[in-house]
Amino acid sequence: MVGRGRHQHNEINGAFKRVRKIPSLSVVESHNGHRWGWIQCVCGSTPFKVWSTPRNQETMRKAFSNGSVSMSAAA
Amino acid sequence: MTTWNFRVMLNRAPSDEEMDNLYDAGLDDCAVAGGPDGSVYLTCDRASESFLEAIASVLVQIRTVDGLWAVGVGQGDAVTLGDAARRHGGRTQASLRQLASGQRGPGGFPPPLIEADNISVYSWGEVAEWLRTEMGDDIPQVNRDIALADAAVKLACRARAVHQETQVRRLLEVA
Repeated sequence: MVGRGRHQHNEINGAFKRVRKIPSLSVVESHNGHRWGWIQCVCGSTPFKVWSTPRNQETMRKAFSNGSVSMSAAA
Repeated sequence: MTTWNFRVMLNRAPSDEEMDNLYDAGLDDCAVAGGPDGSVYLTCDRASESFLEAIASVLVQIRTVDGLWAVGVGQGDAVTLGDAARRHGGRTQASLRQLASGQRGPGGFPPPLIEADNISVYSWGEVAEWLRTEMGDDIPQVNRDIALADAAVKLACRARAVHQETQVRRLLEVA
């Protein structure tokens, strides 16, 4: 059983850890349909959706690190 | 089989229900995100034999959701020299202007795609390739297929807007 605030994939949890250090970003857990939750930015951009079971967790982890999330935070 | 990484810009943000439909359509290897300018896009890691095939397979899956479609692929290939300097990060607009005019460098800078009213628009794919090969600039390689896919998606959007999809498809076949 995975605890609240934690994703079942460690790569994604590692990315969450970095995101939580950025004051303008927050991780929201919802467990709705295929969605684990999302990452939202105070800038109001479309939240970054996180799947519960992504085909490849690397996709999510890379998206966090290639600017899809941090780009919004920098705005 | 290669895994290709690219972005597909969407016409609007999908609703929660549409998000689940996208997942069920096979887009569980893509993530939905958005920029501060209101743009919404999928960032994809698609395994396929070719880049264009990978992009096409994602576009097909997006179209399974009514009212949702792609409006662009990649970063957008058309740039002014100012845009190109910002993407490059290591050259100024003035430096690129000198290279483009042949005042400096070996010559042969890619010609602009569009030239009007003193504004020249270039292909970032072509410019980046030229800077890498002719000037030895250390910038990431740009896959030209992205520019092709982006142009095709934008053409499809324009055709759809005026309900001329069939005629434009025919034009592409015979052109």
